Amino acid sequence: MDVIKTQQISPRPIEKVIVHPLVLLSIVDNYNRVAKDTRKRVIGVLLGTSFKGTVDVTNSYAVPFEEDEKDPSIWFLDHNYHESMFSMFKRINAKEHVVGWYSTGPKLRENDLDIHRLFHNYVPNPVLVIIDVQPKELGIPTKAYYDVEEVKENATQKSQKDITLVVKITPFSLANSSETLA
Amino acid sequence: MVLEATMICIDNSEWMRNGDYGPSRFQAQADAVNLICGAKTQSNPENTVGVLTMAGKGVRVLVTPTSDLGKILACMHGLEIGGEMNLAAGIQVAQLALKHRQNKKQQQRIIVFAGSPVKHEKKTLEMIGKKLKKNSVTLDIVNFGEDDEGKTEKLEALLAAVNNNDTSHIVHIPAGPNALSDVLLSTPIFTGDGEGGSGFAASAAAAAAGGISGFEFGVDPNLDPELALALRVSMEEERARQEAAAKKAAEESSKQEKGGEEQDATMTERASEGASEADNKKNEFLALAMSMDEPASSQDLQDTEMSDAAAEDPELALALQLSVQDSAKDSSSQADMSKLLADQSFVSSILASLPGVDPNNPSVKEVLASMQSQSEPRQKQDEDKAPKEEDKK
Repeated sequence: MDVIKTQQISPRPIEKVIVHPLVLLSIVDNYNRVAKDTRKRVIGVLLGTSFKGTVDVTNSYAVPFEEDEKDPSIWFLDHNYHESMFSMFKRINAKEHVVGWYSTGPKLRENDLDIHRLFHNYVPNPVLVIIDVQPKELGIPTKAYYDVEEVKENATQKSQKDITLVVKITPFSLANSSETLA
Repeated sequence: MVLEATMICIDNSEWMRNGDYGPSRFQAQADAVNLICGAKTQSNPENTVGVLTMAGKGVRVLVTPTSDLGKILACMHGLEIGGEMNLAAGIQVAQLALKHRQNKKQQQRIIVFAGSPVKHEKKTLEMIGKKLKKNSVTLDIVNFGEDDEGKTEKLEALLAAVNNNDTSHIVHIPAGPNALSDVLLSTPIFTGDGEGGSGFAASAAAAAAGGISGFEFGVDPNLDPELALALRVSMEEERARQEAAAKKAAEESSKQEKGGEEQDATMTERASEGASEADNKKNEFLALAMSMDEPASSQDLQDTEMSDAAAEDPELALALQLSVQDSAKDSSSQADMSKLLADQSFVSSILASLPGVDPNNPSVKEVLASMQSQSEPRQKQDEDKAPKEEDKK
């Protein structure tokens, strides 16, 4: 966590989010196993690199997440799990940092802003990517968001803004073995 | 030694700045949390404890259930006080956190510290309680702080909704000189459903409460048997030594009372030597012998002598009283006593030294005469007894 902070001292506003196919595959696979026919959603962490306004998401993992259906303000995310998992991932690939988190949506929910705030502890400018695991039409199944601070009537308030993130799903041929498998 | 996963809900609202529980409510709460974590992890190494805060910006889980005590203690640092406590949300999030515990065999338990007013309705709390009961989660409530807006009734209602076979508890702690954690130590939250408590909790309670509850000497024989044994042995030795010293003091004082006759001296010596033995009854008889006439004589004499002696020394008085009671019950003991003191000259010397008795009194003379007839054969017995006693030492 400290390493990330020193690297991204002055975060540039994010313009582009590149999602690698491995990430999509693992998210869909996890969703199918865990929450296929339920109304629950799966939440996880996105790992990757961020350079000059472009976020490159190369890896991901799900985290234990629970929310109350009736009361959206009641939610629990096991951040100890995330910290342990991330420290293990770091041993394999030190270049991968936490860049944000994902949700299987399919749409934005009320507590997303609170969860986003939690991720500010790990990365200064986190990105939320909503993955549509059951797309009806053909197209890009992802939507990326980041949060913006708005001054609202003498009080600062954070709100999420849908930005023109060009989410490219780029199959890198020169990438690591996991991607060639995908 | 129940296998448990516990979530502790801390109140870090503005009300925690109050200093009525010293040093501040928040500090007292933090100490209590540390104690609970320690007790839980000690009672069963596989127990896990998690912590969350209920006030501030919102319910925030600081530590998910873990058995790492260091992590729990570390997260208690740097907590900020502010906002209002959200009891309902806190309990619900705690329940979610427990749902995700790693070992599904662990019992689910939530411990709530409620130190500020509860703004929820009783109905809301009852519904939450029912949900907890359905998911077999037990709840412990630590109620401290002021009692506004029917806080106690609301918490009691919540407990009633959750309680299943008396596994859930509520503790009301009023403000006072005792620290919050010390009061908690004696409650069922620590002693755990009447199992008799873990070693840690019991010894901690003993240490905190000055050895009143818990194990003897504040040391758990399970944790440190050698130390416990050493402490017990030395305590007994000290007790025996003190008893001997007390007896000696009693004998010394009675010796001074009766004057310095030779027989007195020898009898005193015998008595004090006897005191060093553990033979309490014999000592009492000797003491009684020195201050009493033969048991068959008038009760008035006895009482007078006794009261005179008693006035001088309360310890002696107690010994005398005990011996009188003993002598009253046991007739055989009386026979012993009469044997011991039937020395004619000894008795007369005692009588002479007593302030209230005139040896020339006809009744006393009568008694002496009756004693004299018995004295000769008895004198020999006495002398035999004396060396016997000395041999015993």
